[in-house]
Amino acid sequence: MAVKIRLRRMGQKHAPFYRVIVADERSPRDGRFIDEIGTYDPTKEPMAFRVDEEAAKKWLANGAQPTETVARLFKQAGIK
Amino acid sequence: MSTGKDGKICAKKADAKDWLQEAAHLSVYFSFYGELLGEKTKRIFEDYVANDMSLAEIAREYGLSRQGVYDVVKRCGAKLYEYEECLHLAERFQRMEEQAERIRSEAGELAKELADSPAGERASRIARSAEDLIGSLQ
Repeated sequence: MAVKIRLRRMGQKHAPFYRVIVADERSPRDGRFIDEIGTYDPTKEPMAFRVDEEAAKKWLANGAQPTETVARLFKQAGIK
Repeated sequence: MSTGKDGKICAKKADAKDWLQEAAHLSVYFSFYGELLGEKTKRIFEDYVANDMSLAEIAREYGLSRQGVYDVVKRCGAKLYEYEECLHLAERFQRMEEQAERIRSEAGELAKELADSPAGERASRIARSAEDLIGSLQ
């Protein structure tokens, strides 16, 4: 079963704030996730992206699929 | 406003160079105007922008075609921009929040400078009011 690395929106109603989570592909809605590896705040200038690089690499090496959005963030942060 | 070169909204994550920025805008607009979208389209749009699901995943979940989901997302995005263009609620809200924050910090500093005087008391009351205002905006 595929594991995905995706964003999940948290934060207040009018201020988007995301967590970077590792979750089973089939539980995008119900909120269950396996691991939380970072945060992303697009309201900051420049945007604030913080991620546990070790954990991200570990999950990627284990075949976790980042979503397009997360892949873009990883690329900007220099994580392969 | 972040629209693509051709003036169209980029709803496709892979296409949009500034999808991240666009998603941030859309999610703010969605929190203001989301209730105006249809029940089902609202859920689809939320899955795409807030839950970071792909078109294919959403299509599977709702039994739609990928193209169908794409159309919904794109149409919703366009509507949200249109609402903001007419009403400017998000823009006004942001300005209001910035101003309230400025009042709060100025009054707070003034209260410190004028500490233990009646004027200082008043300044800190203003700071508290501004803080309440910021709280009530959330």
